[in-house]
Amino acid sequence: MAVDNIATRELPAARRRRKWGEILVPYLLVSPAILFVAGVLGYAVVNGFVTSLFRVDIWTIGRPFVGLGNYLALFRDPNFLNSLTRSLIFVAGTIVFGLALSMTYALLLQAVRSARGFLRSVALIPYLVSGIAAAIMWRFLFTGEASLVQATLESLGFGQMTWLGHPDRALAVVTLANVWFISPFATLILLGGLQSVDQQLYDAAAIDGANWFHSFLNVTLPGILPMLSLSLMWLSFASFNMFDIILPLTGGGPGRSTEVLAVYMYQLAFRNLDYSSASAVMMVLLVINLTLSLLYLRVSRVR
Amino acid sequence: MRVFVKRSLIAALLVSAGALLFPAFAQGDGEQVELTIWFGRENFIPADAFDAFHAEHPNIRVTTDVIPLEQAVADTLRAAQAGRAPDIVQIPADSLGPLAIQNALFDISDLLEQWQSEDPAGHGNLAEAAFSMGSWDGTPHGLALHIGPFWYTYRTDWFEEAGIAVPTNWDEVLEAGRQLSDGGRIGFAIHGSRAHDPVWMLSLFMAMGGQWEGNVPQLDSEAGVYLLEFYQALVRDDIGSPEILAWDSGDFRAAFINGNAAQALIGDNVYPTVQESLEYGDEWAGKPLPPRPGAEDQNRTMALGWPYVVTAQTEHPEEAMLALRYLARPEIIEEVALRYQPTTVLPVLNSPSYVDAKPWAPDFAEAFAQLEPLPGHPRQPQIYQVLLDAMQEALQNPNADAGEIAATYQAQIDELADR
Repeated sequence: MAVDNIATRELPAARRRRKWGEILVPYLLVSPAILFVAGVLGYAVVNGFVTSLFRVDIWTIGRPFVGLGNYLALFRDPNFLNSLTRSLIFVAGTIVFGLALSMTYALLLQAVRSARGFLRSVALIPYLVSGIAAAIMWRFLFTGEASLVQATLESLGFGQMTWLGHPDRALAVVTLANVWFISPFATLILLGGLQSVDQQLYDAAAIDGANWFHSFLNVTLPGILPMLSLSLMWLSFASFNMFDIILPLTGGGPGRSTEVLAVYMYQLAFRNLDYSSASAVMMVLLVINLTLSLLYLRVSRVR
Repeated sequence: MRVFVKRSLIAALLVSAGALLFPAFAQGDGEQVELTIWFGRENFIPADAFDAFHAEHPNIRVTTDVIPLEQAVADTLRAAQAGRAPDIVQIPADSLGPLAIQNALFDISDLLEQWQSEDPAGHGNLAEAAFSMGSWDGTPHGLALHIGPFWYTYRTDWFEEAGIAVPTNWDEVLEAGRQLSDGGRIGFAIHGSRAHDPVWMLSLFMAMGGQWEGNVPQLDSEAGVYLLEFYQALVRDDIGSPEILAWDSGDFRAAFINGNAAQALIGDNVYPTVQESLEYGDEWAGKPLPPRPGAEDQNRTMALGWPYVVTAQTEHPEEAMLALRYLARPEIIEEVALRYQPTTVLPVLNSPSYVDAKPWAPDFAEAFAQLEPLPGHPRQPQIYQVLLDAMQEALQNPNADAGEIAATYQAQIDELADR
């Protein structure tokens, strides 16, 4: 009886210890990774934010504190406002076309029964190509004597058309190149989502008389909403930060028509050597990316 | 056996001690000096990689690295902040200002005087541009041992075939372009993209009589407006490539080298590549940039320079100067000049091997003596962006009023310069 009493007294304490252990151990295990990411990214963000509050460029001796002066100057700068507008068009275009493309490809991959592994590898190829190589390839496609697009258009009876030398068409080309470059990863994310949807739900919908479109709308989409949100996040982030395709493809031109925020930030930092203004642009990009990710997460949770 | 082991151990200890102590004694003879030099391009590094220099100065060890010219200023400033700036860095001459303003450069006046007194012949070999391009506000910080002008380059065979005389001014260049651009050829090839600093544009500007006030280009001058009209004519009259706004230097050079362009503005360093495809004289030739009609007396030929400057953080300025003097030796610089950029070391330009390798050299000898450096302003990087805006605006709007374009962008340039 006494033994039973001791056992009943000690059991909750042991359970509590085990419970705390279960809670703490995962955090303990991921803490090195969190510390590493915080060290690498956190330092850059904090340093960037601090730099944006000072005047740091090659013309100023020392680092005078200017508070929000860099941000105010930025929002008065027509070149920054142009970059912001161009970025929004570029990202919106990429999201619309990129999501349509990656969703279509993911659905096709999900539907095929054979060579799925091979097709999945093919889908990933653009993502494995370096940005510079992709830019050069797209440049050859649209400019020069051996331009495939030009030759095709001419064979179809269209006259000579300038692509990268025309402001609107150049923006369309860099958007297409970006879609080609970053969509494969979104495809993989969506494919993962599609594979996790319970087949029985489709069977039940079929019994209820749902056609393919109804099933897609009422079963597939709700089932992959978290993955859809993740894809949107990826497409937005990657596009807002896109730089390595645009710079070699157009250099931001013609006439700053493809100078999106990331390219503008590069020009400020590494051509104008104006580090504090570039840091302010970095913070603006960060805020936009954070806002969008919160929005996507909220939408996926609402459902 | 035990005695053998004991002796072996003692011998090993003595050898180890000797190996440890030798560098200390060796250093006692003279301080070991490590010099770091950042070259702007791999091609600028002499083929001997300082072997002869090391043999002459066993106490100095030169380590070279390649930091592209385009990022040399930014990287030097960052390295200086971290206390790890190189002893010598090669930068574009027009970017000297930012480094000088940040007190990142060493004043080599005394070292130049010392060189002149010790080796007047070696010092005298250098053209004036070598010193002026390495100076900021009258203070010498380094030496521009390589300079690169752009030349007006044209197809002699096409001109002859069409019965067109070699242009003597830019109006004639445009007219020749109009006549020769028929049949899919490009009349005049030049870049119009934002991929580069506008050095081709400024070279045209200077040849057309463009002026600088306080090192600020005067785009709203007669020469500036004429320059923008020149760009507009390239598009309006189909003289330039239809893709001129997307063309970078590689595109327009390739157009000329591949036989698709009648005229171009090509750097001296690219001439050997042109010669590989076309025969100098029979198929192509070059000459200094012609003047704007009516402004012949204001015509100048601009040269880019890439001086090696000594940084303020060097602990060994005298050794750094020795390295510069080594790089300036005719036998060292000639090897680089033969395969890459021309030099300011004058004896090299007249050497038989140089003329043999670059048969066009005698045609430019006079122009080389009169090259003018591109003026540099502390706000140069930002001014360049505005100049690119102006150029692209002219190319995009070939019928717009060039005077208005010039006035708009001059106001932006002046606003930057006044900050």
